[in-house]
Amino acid sequence: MSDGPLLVVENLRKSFGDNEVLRGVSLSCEKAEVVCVIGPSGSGKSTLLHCINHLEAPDSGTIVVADQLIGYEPRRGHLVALKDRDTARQRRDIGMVFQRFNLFPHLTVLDNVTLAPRLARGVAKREADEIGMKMLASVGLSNRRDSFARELSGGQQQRVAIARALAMGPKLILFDEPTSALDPELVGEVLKVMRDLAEEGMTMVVVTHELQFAREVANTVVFMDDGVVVERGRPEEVLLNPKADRTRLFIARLVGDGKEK
Amino acid sequence: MGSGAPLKLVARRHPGYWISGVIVVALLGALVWGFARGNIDWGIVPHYIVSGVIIKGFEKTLLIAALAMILGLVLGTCFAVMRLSNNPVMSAVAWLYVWAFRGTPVLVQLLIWFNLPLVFPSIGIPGLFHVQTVQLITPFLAALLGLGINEGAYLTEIIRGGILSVDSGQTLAAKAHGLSSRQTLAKIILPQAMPAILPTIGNEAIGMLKMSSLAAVIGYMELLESAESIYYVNARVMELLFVASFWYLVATSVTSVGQYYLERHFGRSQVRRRSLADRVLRSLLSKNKARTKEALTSE
Repeated sequence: MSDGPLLVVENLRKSFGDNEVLRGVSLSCEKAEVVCVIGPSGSGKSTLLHCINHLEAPDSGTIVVADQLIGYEPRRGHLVALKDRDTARQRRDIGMVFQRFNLFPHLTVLDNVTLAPRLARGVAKREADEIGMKMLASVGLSNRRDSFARELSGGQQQRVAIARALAMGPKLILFDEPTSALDPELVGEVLKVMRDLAEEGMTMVVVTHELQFAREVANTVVFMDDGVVVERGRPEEVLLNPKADRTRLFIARLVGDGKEK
Repeated sequence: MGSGAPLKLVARRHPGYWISGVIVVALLGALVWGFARGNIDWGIVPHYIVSGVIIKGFEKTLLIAALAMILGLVLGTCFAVMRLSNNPVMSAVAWLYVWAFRGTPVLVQLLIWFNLPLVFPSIGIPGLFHVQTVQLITPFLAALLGLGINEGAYLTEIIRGGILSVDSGQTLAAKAHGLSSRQTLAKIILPQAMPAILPTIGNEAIGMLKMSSLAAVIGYMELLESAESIYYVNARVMELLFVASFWYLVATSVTSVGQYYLERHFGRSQVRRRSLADRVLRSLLSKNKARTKEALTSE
């Protein structure tokens, strides 16, 4: 692998009907870097994440993860969409954690974690269970291996979802507002797990409204609004001394909300 | 109000319940009395219920209903997936199938399958094999195709509905973790669609048991056709229709009970907490005594 950034997004555009959600977004993320993406809802942050692992196909622009062009291959001067199977293979290196957890409700906690390694990587059940238990231990939930998602709190469910993403041994994990659906008292346990991950050197792109987390954990903060990157930089620059008016307004509003709670 | 002993709470009386109840029971009694005194020889009904021809017919009813239901489930699953496919040709063909077979009476379909030899006197692959269609399309095969393909059209819609009822986030999560479309369908979507689909499939199975009686018109010797074959000879029409009804009721009742347990198995374990007995059994099976104790004491 080259020494370049692990993730490079270049000039990404995506529309849903007449609504242009991404209007030329570029972004890069070094290995072991934590990039926090903040911005008002509807600014295209989630769509950006969905494009990175090709859950949404972009209209134009390119995404490269670990030197691999995602979702397309160059052929005779065009970029041709990959086969379903090849896209699935690429996704195995990119973990994803959803706002609403999206655990598989018909499976136990351990099976949630081991399903993808077994099906997508062909790991034997026994070995997968071992990896799974290790991942559950890392999020502090080894004792819930036989539970079902509905028996867990939101915070526990999200920690299982993180373990599920980790079990595939991803090079990069995308977090799509991982704490937005949680009761306030459960946010901390999830952020703690993410903090630990960052310290262990995991490369992470985190869409979040948790400014404190962004300030303390992120290496880079990106502020998006209306489908473009308005501002990017080190957390203390973007969060404490924002240059753009839009950034300043957004942060003031978010901090104001926080005080009311 | 105010001081003194609290007044006792009493339920309101409903004399209307009693009056309407008595009237309905009286009417029902009159009906039973009428049938008991009517021109029916009840004495021979038990005899025919266990007679060889009727039992044989009942077996054939169960056989054709089960096979047609299985054929319907296979077709229904395939066409439901096709209907939801991104490929417009697949989707259109599935739509056409449902449209054609749900839009025509199953009795007509049975007659069409049975009379297929009129269109194709012989079928086969040139140079490989050839069969006379009359010999191929037996009443059994015509009944199986007619009932099964018709059922498949209904089950296509039911299964499609079940698949659509699964949260779209499940597909996202499965794909994001590198599962292929097929794995996502088989391991994530269909298992979760089951609770939504099962009650309706139970109803369809009960419907199929009764609908199989239509195969009588193409000469398949199922329960009704067997009963008819007897009353053509001895003219005990009503007695034998009651005999057939008895066995239909037995089959549909047993199916209802089976449906109840299936639903409880799939439905409840999905939505509610596992029952105490279930948890104790599970932990016993996993041979973990500490957990058993925990399950018992946490209740």
